[in-house]
Amino acid sequence: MEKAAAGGWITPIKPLYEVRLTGAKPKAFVDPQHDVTSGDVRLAHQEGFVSVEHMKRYTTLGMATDQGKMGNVIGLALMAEALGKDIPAVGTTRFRPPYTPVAIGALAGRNTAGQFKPLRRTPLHDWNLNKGATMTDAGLWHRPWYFASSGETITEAYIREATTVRDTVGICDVSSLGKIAVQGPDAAEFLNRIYVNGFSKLAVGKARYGIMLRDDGMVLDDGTTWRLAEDDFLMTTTTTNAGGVMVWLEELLQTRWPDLRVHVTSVSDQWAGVAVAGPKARQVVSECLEDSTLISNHALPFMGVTATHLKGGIPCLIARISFSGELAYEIYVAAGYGAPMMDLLWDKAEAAGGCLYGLEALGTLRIEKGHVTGAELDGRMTLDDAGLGKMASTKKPFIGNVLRQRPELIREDRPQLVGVFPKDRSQTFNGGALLCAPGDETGFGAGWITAVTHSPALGHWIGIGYISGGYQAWDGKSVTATDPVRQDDVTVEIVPPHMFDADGDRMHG
Amino acid sequence: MAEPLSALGDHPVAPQLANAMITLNEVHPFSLIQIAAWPDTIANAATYGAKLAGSEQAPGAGQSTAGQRGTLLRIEPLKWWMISDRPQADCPDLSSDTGATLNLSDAHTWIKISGAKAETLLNHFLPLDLRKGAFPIGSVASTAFHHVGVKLWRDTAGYNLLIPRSFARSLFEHLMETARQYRESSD
Repeated sequence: MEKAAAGGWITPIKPLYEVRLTGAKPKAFVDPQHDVTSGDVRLAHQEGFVSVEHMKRYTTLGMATDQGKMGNVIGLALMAEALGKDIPAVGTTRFRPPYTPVAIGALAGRNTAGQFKPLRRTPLHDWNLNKGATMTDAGLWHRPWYFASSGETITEAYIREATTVRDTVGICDVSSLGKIAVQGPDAAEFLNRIYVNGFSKLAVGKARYGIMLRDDGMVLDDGTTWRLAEDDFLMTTTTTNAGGVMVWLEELLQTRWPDLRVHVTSVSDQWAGVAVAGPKARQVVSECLEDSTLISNHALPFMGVTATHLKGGIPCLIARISFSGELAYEIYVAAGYGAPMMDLLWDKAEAAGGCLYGLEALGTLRIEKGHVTGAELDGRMTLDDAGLGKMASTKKPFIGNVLRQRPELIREDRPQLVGVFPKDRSQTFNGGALLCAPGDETGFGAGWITAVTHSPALGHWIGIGYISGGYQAWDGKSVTATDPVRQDDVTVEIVPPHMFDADGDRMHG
Repeated sequence: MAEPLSALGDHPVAPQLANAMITLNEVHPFSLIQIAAWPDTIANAATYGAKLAGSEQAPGAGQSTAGQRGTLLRIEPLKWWMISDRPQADCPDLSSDTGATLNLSDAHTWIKISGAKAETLLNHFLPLDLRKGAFPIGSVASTAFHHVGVKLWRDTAGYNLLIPRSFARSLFEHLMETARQYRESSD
């Protein structure tokens, strides 16, 4: 009786790795995804690629989406034959996941329709919707755009909202702002190194507006930072840059200054925040506090911060800071108390003739004041371009200080922040329009407009943007706002960027 | 004082999906305290954290320990999270020589996932090997759910997911929709 071979077979079935025809050399594909043939495998061997990993890279066998599931064994067998070795002795190559086939739908199929990207909601999301907010996208966030009443258009709504803030009081959900806890004995020193202005001597119970630069001297982000205790700061960032700033701070602490005893933690989701702004802001907020005296002008001066309680015992932080240019407070509570906070505030604000306002009106208010946002601090601008050069400390080093002073960035003809009025006050122009000398409406012009609005305070259309040399270079001269894709040219005049209440009297009220 | 609201709004949970296959429960409210150490104070901060949680010792990397007052999760080399289903108004003090504490109780939404198909459900979203040999009871992971950073840990009852509050409802809707296919047949 014949002896059985290994595995029990009397006549074992041997694998056929390649069909060979006498007198012919047909093309025999081994890897049908990368069109690798048996001839390619043997060529690799002839070229001296005797390692299976080298053969793989020389031929690209096994490097397609199947990661060799169809052709690797055949390729290894051909290589083994060429090398005169057993297949196991040749070895295998590293293949990438998934090990077992996964349908493309399983990887991306959930990302369709309403679940294409996750929606990020503020703690006041439902409350805002219940009050008639029309939402808009701000990255992954939904934020109130405007609160139309009685069939208002967006234009009617934002003009009413901005007017009401200037005349009475308004409340705006600002919860999406980035918020970072900066803690530790070296926290003040850390902030001093990253901000252009000084923070090491900021008193407990005070906030300060700060700007941070990139290493190359360009503006990275801005916000206010509040000193809550000796070693405890709350930094705010723009909504858009919250994640980027957080990553930047971690990079600095982990790689550049590991000796600093500082921890940074994102608390963007921990807090629900609102701005209460307008001449009646103090009245409205004080009526919502357990101790109404805590926000008198004396008790809480401009840029002051206090921890107290809203009625009903809700703990809160209040900072007297203003983006709108009005007397204003930002109130933060633990996110779960966001809606109860709004109920309290809106009850008093509505009774005082106030309004809820969204991003559109917020934009109007800040353009009137000449306050910058990401539209102006777009990664190409310096402190001096934005008219904020005086903020830079001359007494301490900070990131970006050296390179912001390189010759190209301090040229007199750099674009500088300006306001823009239509010469004919009844006209309008678009954000994105280029600013050109009359008769020279070509190329990129001398500047550009970053944002526009109807100004309730001034009674006509205004814009904010940049122009070479700034206001001084164009004072008294006409300029053309040209927008060849969308409208005819508009003659404009350049004005200083702080177009309303330039001295800031209203927010110090 | 007013009651704090959940980020999930009015989403029904248990009535729709409570069956032997999958149970999704939100824990709300809860307390979450971060304890952060300096590189040379890890031992002291660990002792502090263990005492806070009422456990004998603090967990090492990728681990959690359950104590009498809460569960301590080691989420980073220098940070622990002490989580408890008992809300806590004040943040405990820690000398800045030793580290820093931070109240994060409102920054996340806590979802418990249990049942025979809990692991399968999570594997629809999380790129982790959740089999008992690879992710035993007491394991902790920082991972991504639909590109959102989340924390996952396993206890005797099942899995626990901490989702950043602002993303919670959106990701919870994902979980609910996917979990429906595992609803136990009523036949």
